Amino acid sequence: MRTFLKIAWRNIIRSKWRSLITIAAIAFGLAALIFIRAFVEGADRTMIENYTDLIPGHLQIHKIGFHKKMGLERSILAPEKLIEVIKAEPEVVNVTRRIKDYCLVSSSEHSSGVLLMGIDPSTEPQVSYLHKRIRHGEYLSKDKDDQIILGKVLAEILNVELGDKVVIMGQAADGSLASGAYRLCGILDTGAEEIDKTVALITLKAAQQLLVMEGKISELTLRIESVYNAADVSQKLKAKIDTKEFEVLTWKEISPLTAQWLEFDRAFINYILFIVLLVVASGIFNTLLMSVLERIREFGIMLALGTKRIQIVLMVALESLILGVIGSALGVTIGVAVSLYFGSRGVNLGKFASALENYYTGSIIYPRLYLDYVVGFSLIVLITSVLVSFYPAWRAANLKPVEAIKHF
Amino acid sequence: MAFIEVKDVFKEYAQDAVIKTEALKEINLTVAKKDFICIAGPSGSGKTTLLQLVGALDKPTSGKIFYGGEDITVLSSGRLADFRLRKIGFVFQAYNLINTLTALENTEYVMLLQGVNNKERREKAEGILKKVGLGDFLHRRVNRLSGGQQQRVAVCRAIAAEAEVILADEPTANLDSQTAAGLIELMRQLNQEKGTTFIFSTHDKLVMDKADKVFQLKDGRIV
Amino acid sequence: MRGDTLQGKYTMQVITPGWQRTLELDVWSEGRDKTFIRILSPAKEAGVGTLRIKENMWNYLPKVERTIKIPPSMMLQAWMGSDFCNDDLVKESSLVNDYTHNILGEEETNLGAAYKIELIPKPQAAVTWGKLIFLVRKDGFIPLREEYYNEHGKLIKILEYSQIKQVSDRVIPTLWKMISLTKEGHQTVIEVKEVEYNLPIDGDIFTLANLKRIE
Repeated sequence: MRTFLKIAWRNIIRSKWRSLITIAAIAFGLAALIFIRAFVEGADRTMIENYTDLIPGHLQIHKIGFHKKMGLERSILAPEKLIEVIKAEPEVVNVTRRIKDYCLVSSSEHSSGVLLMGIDPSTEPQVSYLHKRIRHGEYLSKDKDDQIILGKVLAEILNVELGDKVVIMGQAADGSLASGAYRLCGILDTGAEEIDKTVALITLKAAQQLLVMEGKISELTLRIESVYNAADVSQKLKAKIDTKEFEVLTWKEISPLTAQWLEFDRAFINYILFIVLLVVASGIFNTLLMSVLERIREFGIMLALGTKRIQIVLMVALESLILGVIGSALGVTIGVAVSLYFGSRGVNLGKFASALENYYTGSIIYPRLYLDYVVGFSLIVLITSVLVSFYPAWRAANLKPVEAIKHF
Repeated sequence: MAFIEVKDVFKEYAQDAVIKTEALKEINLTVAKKDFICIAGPSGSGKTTLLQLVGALDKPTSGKIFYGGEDITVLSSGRLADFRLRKIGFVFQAYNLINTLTALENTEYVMLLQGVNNKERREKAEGILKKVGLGDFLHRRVNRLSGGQQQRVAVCRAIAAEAEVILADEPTANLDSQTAAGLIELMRQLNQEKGTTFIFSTHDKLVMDKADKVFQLKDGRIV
Repeated sequence: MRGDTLQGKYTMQVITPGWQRTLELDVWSEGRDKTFIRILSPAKEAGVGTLRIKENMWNYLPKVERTIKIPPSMMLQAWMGSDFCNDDLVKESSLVNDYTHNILGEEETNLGAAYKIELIPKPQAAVTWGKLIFLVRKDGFIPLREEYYNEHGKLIKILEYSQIKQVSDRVIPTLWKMISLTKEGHQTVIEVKEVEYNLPIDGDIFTLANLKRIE
């Protein structure tokens, strides 16, 4: 075995440049793969976190059917028991109560449809980070039940400034006309048009009064330790809550669009992986085929001497294994180094900023490395290197000694 | 019983359905153990082909070849490879060796395939190399050895592997007369000392003179 | 039924599985372009006014002292939570202009023999219905029943007219029942309590200024 290794190794050394180029191709391919994956991973994570931090939260609980069709008739009547059950879950950081309904907001100049949200100013900031996106003015506070926050674009449409009065009109839970006047105390600027154009916030108490929803709420929104465990926590909660009466939704279920975006990213990565593998494989294949064709006579002699076919295959496969190992090791080092470097500095996509803002990613992406895919990709590249050598190896092993020896 | 018996052997090469070359016709010969014989003839007479058949590298179109009574023409290619490994040594005209290995490593190669252990391999290889005067070149890459030295390494390889028969196809063709004579002398010596049978092909008169027996080949027949 | 001017008192009862409400309304309208409605009761909504002039609609909310213009996008939504949408109350003119009429045949009803008429929207008409089917009493062309179908041929709501009486200068059904087939358990019943046709109405009624005035 050691001798075969020696033969393989010395062969690689024998054609220095060819070997170097092959190793470089493998290394570059793997490094690119790792970095691109880290980049997309970073973008995805930022998007998920930004998105869930703003309004949807990590998990939402409603009366069953609310997500499909919002309406005050689907409200949670006495949320205290539910809140107790939720808080008992160790992963839950906090839970907040909300009222949600479509209403009309109107200023002296203009009217517009809004998604009205009644939020509890004491618990909401621990679940969502909307309060960090107040561009002008201030957040809602307890007992300031006559105040309202509007999205930036909405405020522009209505042409109102801080301190101006707006009126909310809608239908209350008992069917009566709901109307109330509120003063603009803050303007929300999240960068996401769907929020800045359609959201109006008042206190939970104000919303309950306006919409005749005393003691009732539309939604419980949860924040958990890690947004990526949402599915697990959802399962645990579903075991403890009556799922015929209530629905438990993860952020993915709340926004299939976001989930789809993530799937798209995954598919994109797989395409890149495939292309890189194709390039690496053809590089190695070419190198090995040339190497084998150059040594036909030598293989003939080895076969004449009694070398078994499998031993010939082994020699050729070892050659590509060595190239693969060196190339992969180099590739991993470069890929990880570049990813770590940009991971701390961030990649600035300033030029594409406006397009990205709408997708919650922001213009600076921080690539994120994870062991699982670094190891995974390295293994795939390595295995491909070896697999691809089988055809040249088989060709070599099946030479007829008599003919091979006659070769040049 | 003859050591090697070639009986009524014909060899035909078919390039395609129409063109056929008759390389050997009605070959009959016997070789005894410890023989030092030569197959002579002009180029194209079939010398190489005959050696290849005797060396179990190829099979005759018809006829039989016996080694110690055993018919090797019915063996599968896998069994033939094994047969070659254990019984036969080859010395070709040139390019006998694995270029990337040293003289020592090349000499050890067949023993390695045979499964001989490290220590024994090393000892035997060193021993034979030193004996033929290549003691200083043990760790030299063979592509840096002279033609004559390379041929000697090939012989050492076969000897170290305890080949019963060494087949040499025009082993001196690329060497100058002095080196050629030296090589033949070495082979003669080993033949005497170890009892290894030598069969070589040549069209060199010098070499023919050194052989015990000469078979002349012309147009595929023994004359 | 509409005539040139109209002035009257209606009650509107909205019935849903969750709640029931009855509103008392004062209604004025001139031709097909102008309508003014004031809610008289219950107390929470008393004083709320709706003014429509052509395609524009405003609500006045006395509680917050604000006149709100209803954006065109909300015209198709329910008026005051009923099964009549903003557009229903104001759209009559389009029945003639926006649809082609086809008499399908005749039917016997408990209110008399009636024509069955199919109304299909004209291609350019700004209408969301796929088709309408009306039952109209032969005697006096009084509407008995209206069926509203969407573009996929699904029946969405049915308007039933009953209690046909002589009121003011004409005979009209005084009870209108709109039943929703998509919202289970939803229906709205409008009863015409009193109405006068073709009385002169002060043009000032159909102004924003009047909207804000509370008696």
